[in-house]
Amino acid sequence: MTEASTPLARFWDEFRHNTVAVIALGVVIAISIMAMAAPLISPQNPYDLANLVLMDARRPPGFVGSKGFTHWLGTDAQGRDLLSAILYGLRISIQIGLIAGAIAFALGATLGAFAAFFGGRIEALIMRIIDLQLSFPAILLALVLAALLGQGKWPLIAALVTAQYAYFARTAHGAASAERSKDYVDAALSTPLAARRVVFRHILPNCLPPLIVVATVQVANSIALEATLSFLGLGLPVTEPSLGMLIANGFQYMLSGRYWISIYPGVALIVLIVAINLVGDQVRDQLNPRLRR
Amino acid sequence: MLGFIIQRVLQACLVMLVISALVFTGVYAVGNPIDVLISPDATQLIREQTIRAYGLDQPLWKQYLDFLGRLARGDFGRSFVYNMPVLDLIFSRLPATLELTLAAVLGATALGVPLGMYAGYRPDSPVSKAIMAISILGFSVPTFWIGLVLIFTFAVSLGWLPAGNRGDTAALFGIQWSFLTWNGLMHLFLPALNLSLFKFALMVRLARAGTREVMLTDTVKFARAAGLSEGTILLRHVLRLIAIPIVTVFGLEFGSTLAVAVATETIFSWPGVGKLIIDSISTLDRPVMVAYLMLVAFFFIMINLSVDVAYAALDPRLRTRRAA
Amino acid sequence: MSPVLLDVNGLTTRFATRAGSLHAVEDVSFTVAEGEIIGLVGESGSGKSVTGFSILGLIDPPGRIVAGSVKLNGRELVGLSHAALRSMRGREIAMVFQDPSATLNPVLTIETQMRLAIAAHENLGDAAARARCIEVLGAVGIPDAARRIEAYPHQFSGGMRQRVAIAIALLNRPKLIICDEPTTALDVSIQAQILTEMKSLAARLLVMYAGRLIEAGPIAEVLRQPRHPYTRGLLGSLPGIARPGQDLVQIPGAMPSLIDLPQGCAFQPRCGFADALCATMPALNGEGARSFRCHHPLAAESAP
Repeated sequence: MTEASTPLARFWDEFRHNTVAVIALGVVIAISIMAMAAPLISPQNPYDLANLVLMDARRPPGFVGSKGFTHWLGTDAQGRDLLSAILYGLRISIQIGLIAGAIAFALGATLGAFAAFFGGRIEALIMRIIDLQLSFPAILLALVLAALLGQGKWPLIAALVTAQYAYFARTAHGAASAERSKDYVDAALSTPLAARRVVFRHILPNCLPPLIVVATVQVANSIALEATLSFLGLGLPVTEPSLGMLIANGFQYMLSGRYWISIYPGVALIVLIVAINLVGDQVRDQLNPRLRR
Repeated sequence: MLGFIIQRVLQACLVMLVISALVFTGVYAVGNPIDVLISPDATQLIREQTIRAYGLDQPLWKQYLDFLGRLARGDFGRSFVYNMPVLDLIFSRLPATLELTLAAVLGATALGVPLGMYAGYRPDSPVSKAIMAISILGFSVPTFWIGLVLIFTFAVSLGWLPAGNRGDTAALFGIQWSFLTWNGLMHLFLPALNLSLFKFALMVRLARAGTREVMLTDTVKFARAAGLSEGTILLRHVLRLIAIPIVTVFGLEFGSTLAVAVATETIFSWPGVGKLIIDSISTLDRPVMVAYLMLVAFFFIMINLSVDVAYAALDPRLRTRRAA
Repeated sequence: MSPVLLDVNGLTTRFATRAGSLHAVEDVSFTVAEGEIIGLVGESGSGKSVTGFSILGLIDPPGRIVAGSVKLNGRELVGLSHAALRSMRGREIAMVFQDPSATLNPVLTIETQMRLAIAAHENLGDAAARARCIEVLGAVGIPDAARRIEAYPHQFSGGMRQRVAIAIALLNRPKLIICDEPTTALDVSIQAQILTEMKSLAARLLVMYAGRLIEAGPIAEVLRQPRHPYTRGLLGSLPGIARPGQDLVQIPGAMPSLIDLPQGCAFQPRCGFADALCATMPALNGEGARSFRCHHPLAAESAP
């Protein structure tokens, strides 16, 4: 048996034995790169209204448009090239999922860790609020918040963060409570280190494994949630259609058999979410101490 | 046990009060419902009369106290849009959602738990891998998109099932239900299937994870050493041991589905409360939003309470700890 | 001497792991006569539990019995069908585990768990099954068994819980009971109590190291005069045997990985007597009732 040197290398050594997870990771990376490079590789800028030809609207896949290039996935109701719209939509979805996930991670983990660290009243209050919030479905919170805050990227992110930070806080609190009782924390506290430093430098790093598992799930969730909100008309403005909105726009044409407007953006969305979840599953299995025997 | 329940109920009342304040302030902080209430070309006089009639000229705290006062008499106010008592409006829509939710959650549990247990029992068999693949799909794919695909496949392309509405209903206990008529059942099938996929995936995962862990314990080894058959071990020992998280999720999912069947109801034009809330959000129908959110909160508190009681029934260790 | 009940011959159980084949039990042979009590000792990981599970046919993949035979009353158990093994377990060979709070199902009553064990082998009526449960519970020393049978495991103390587990093992009147460290998880005082009742003075002692039997013999002789250096080291580390005031003697080093065993004698890296000869596997040599697997056995002193 080869002994890998760093924990990360050992982690990867185990990870790569799951072929499905490795492929999924590859898909996530590939989609991310394609989304980032959307302005460079997509045939058309779908947000430039001057670029759209209404005559080309709702054409099936493979249609050669008036601009002379082939719409491999067809066009939507505004005459947008669907492939371009999907690439740009992925870009928005990933961006929002990552930003919302990162903010929720930072906020939730900090809250949870501090609650566990300080204990007493502060802990009781914070955890009560979080438990209360967790007993409501996240999508309902996001729905109401998105409605209250209005359309736009940041209101949407705020709604997603509110709906999701509690999962991080609960996880961080559980892990940090366990860490808090260990001797090394007392050892760190006996030195003249600020409490803040002990929490961030000593406790939180040891809570990372479960938080990473939650993070993969939550990034996938916020991408799906964003799509659902946009589908219900509560997400981003119509000028910059995310995947959810592309699907919503295509819905009315589906009954007349023009499936591609809704189906292809959905396929892109699903491939992305499934791939993230597959990676997350493997990470969870690897980090779950109860399955190690 | 009784003391425990009373304590929880008091707690629930306090929580409801806090939530009512939050919801009221939140909902009333945005938008101007006057534009919804009256036509744009109404005279200034009518405008002011309407504002006064709905108490919209009062400061927020006064409006809230009035609201609480009316609430104490069981009056949630009238819908701006439908011009009928909010509670009546919600209760007229509730059976449709209840029916849809029950069908979805029951179906998902009845199918998801046995399949999940099998996948946990034989994690490496091809069947288990297929079950897990379906579950990952059900977990990942947004419900609304599955709804579209279901409509496209079964309603548009194949024409087997209707694409929307409740279909024929029949009365039971004075309430109209779809599942009592064949036509209604056909209408119920697709939306219920749509709504159940996520829950199915969740049940499969829970049952699989639980079974995998329990199968490794000494409880199972000891039962095997006593000569129990694998079927008996799974049915009598493992199922009882994994029942607690499953019952929790069953309760919570039932609650959350009841609250958020929004996407499914929108796609299938199912006249339930989910569709009502989306409509009221877009029309700024404040009384409906407030009442709906408070009902959902109430509902969740009740579900959490009953899940706790169910815990005690399923786990004898908790029972004695509380009695002591 | 009583007829042989259990005959284990050349039993070899291995686990396929990603890092290689794990040799949990290698070429283990011993017999148990009817009514005989034998003790199997060794460090954790030396293969005691796996030997027990192998006898019961309870080795889960990736583990496998790769060689050897286990005969109960002359009937070969290795290679029997799952169904045949299942009907043998509990009725002919039963097993009691280390930790009763882990073996008993916390959410089922004692009665339910006992009745499931009976129903696995026999179709008794409700009343008869209950009567059998109460009778066996009483026999293992549970007071007020008729009432206590409706209790849940957590309502018993640790020692009582282990008695319940033993009662479940006894329910179907097995000919052989394998006890896998039945007192490890209990308080010391309760350990003593249970061991006394189980007549802990086994007639014969088998010592295992790294999956192999390395010494066997009548218990008094092995304890008084170990022939294998490992056995002596093991005895030296026991608080009850060391002289008061003296430090307990530790065996230097640790047991080797079962995946990567040293050539020849597995104990050789830790053994003070090891030499070039020890790179070949010593055979289990017999000397009367005693046997040991060592090229350099400790001297058999004629008089202690």
